[in-house]
Amino acid sequence: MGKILVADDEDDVRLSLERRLAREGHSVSTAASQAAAIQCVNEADVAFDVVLTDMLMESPSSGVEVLKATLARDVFTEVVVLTAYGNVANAVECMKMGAFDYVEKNIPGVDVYELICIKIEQALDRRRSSLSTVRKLEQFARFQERRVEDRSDTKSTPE
Amino acid sequence: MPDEISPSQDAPGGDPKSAVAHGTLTNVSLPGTAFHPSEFDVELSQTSLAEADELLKSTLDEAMREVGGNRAFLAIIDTQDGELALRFTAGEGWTDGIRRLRVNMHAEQGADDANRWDALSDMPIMPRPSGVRQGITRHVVANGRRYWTGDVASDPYYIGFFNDVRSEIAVPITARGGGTIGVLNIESPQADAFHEEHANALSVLARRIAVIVAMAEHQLREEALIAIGKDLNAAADIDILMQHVVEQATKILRADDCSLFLLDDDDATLQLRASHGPLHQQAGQSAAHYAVGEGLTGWVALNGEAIRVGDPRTDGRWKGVFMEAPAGEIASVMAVPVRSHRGTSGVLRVVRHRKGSLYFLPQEFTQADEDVLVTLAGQLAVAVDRTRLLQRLLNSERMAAWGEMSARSAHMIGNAVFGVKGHLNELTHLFNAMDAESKAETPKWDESRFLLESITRGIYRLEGILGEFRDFVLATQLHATPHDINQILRTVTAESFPRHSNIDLVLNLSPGLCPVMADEAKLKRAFSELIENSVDFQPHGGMLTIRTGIAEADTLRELARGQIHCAALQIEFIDHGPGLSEQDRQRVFTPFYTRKAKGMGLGLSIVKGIIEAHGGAIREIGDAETVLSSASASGRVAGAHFVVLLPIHDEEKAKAVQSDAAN
Repeated sequence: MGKILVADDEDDVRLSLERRLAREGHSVSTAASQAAAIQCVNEADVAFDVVLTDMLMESPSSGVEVLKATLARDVFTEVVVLTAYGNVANAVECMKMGAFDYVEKNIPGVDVYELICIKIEQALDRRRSSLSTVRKLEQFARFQERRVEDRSDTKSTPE
Repeated sequence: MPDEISPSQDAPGGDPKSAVAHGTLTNVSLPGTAFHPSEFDVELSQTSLAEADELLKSTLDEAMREVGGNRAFLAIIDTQDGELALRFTAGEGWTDGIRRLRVNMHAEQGADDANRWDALSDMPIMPRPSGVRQGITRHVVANGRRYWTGDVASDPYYIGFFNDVRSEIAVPITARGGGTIGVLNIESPQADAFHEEHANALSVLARRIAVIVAMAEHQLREEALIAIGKDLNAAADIDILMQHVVEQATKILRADDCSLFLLDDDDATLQLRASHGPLHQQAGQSAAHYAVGEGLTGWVALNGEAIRVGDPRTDGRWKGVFMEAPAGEIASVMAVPVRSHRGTSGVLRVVRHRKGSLYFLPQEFTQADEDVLVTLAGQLAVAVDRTRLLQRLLNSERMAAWGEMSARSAHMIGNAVFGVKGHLNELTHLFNAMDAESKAETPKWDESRFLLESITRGIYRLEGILGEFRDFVLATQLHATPHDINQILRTVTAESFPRHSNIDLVLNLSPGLCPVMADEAKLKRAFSELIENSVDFQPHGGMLTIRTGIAEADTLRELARGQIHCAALQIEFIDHGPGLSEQDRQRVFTPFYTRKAKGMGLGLSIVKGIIEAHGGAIREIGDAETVLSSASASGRVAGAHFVVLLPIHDEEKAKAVQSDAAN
């Protein structure tokens, strides 16, 4: 249903997320590092719908870099950040910069994979709604343009 | 070896014909000092001793000439071995052998072998009177009175070195404290050579000798103190250092024992840290302690003043809790406070034993002794402070490294667990997705299914433990911003307090409290732990009251124990559960201590870590309602009563907010 990039340097995490999201019906790409993720984002023919990125990869703020690159490519791509449990400070920073949400990886007693799937569905919804808003705005803009043209046509038409 | 020494014979120790006296104080254990200069690693300057030697030699010469004798000697008690040693000689016929003679002052009077000069093995044995004569010199020291005889052969005390002696006069050398420290002794070949006027003349010189010896002692003490000071600065291990000080204090003060007590961290008890004698074995054990104010030692710690007493049993403050010797054997006690920049940090005390044989030596400690002990205590205080500081620095570095390592480990384990959890989810999905036919084809499907569930449960448990561990590690890493504590409490009760419960929640939040610098997530974690705790311990229902307000000065003083130096907010969690026993109260905040079946027992230690990282304090006061006067209104309940204090750093703002609230 969605075109999703999973960026995480932990092989097991990448594999199980890929499997799970594919099972949910998404088309999933993976990247094992911040650099690979940014490259993936830039080289994709069609922009990703959602990018799910780990916060800590090469650097403690890898998630922030992936977020920046993603929004630079397509401002309507939604980004969900994975953080270590209890390390919320960076995630809040990402939220301020436009991330859709963050998910803590080890919340005791919670099936975080289920949570991730829900977040991704919500992110996809928002992207769809954003895109549809944009399309409507474009239609509206085109409509306005046409009206202006029509009016000027009418005006310029000699009696 | 000749049987006797003729006065005309040349002696190796000096020219007998010259009238110049011979001898030195070097290596003597002086009565006031009781140590050999050679015992110190640092070489003591010999100039002060050389000066004293010269003065003593000329005084001895003067004494001999004054009374017209042909030989003179000055014997001083060596307090190390309790022997009277010939330190200086003048006149004819002295040999090194004779000078090495000693008389044992420890020996009981009347015993046969006490009545002789203890000769070294290679010594010529002088004509020694048989019977029970104890020697004039020893007699004078023991009695502290002058003595002379005009006919040594018939004298009951005389034991001689030389055959030509007819008359002998001896005057005691008396220390300022009144004890006898030695004897000035002049001999003459004339019969009846000495009379009272001679004794009077010699007494004057004996006083001068006492002064010279005291001066030498004083200089030795001073140099020894400096040497110890240098040692202290070089010592890295606090325990070795403290032991070193008590050993040196014992020596310098001619004491029989010395002990050091230091206040422990909460300043309530004095712990025995080092001792010279039998108490040494108990040093460092927590059982060996005084309460501040208890006994003589506790009194010194409480009042910060030195004390000097004789028999401690005669002093009303004396308790006899820890003694270096049985009470009846202690002749005198002196104790001084160890003062550091933060006030009294301990007590250094010395004792002298009651000794029958050395009764003539002064037993009471003098002002000069006190000055020495105060100096030692001062040097010790500096060293203890510095070592503690260093230890704290090392500890905090080590703790920082541990914290860093723990946080990293927790993160990596968390990632791995997360990955495994994902795989288990997928495996579970595969199992669940199988139709009846596939299940039948899969060997041992039920068993595998059971194992999968067990592994999943295990992983979830592991994640729970990890979470607790991580909270503990991260408790002190704060991202503090100003927060309204009441708002945090409202949120946390909404989130953590069970929606369906037979426990009544009472929020008693004072309005208009000023904001505190707080890490919201961490504080919520701490408060929710306290709430969950209370809920867990009231399984059959009850009540939890959460109350906020400004801490009163008394409460702050009593509960924060000097940890908070400004105004503080007070948050109380009071329940109707079983409460805590005194034993639990002591340990409830220590890590791994739990009364619950599940978890690592880190819960309340995490709470404590978070509160203290905020500069605050937390205590469990049970039903000690007297501490919080306002609480008595709500009635006494036996449940748990936690008090959290959070400092308000911004006093200005604190007042502003308070006045706003009033308006």
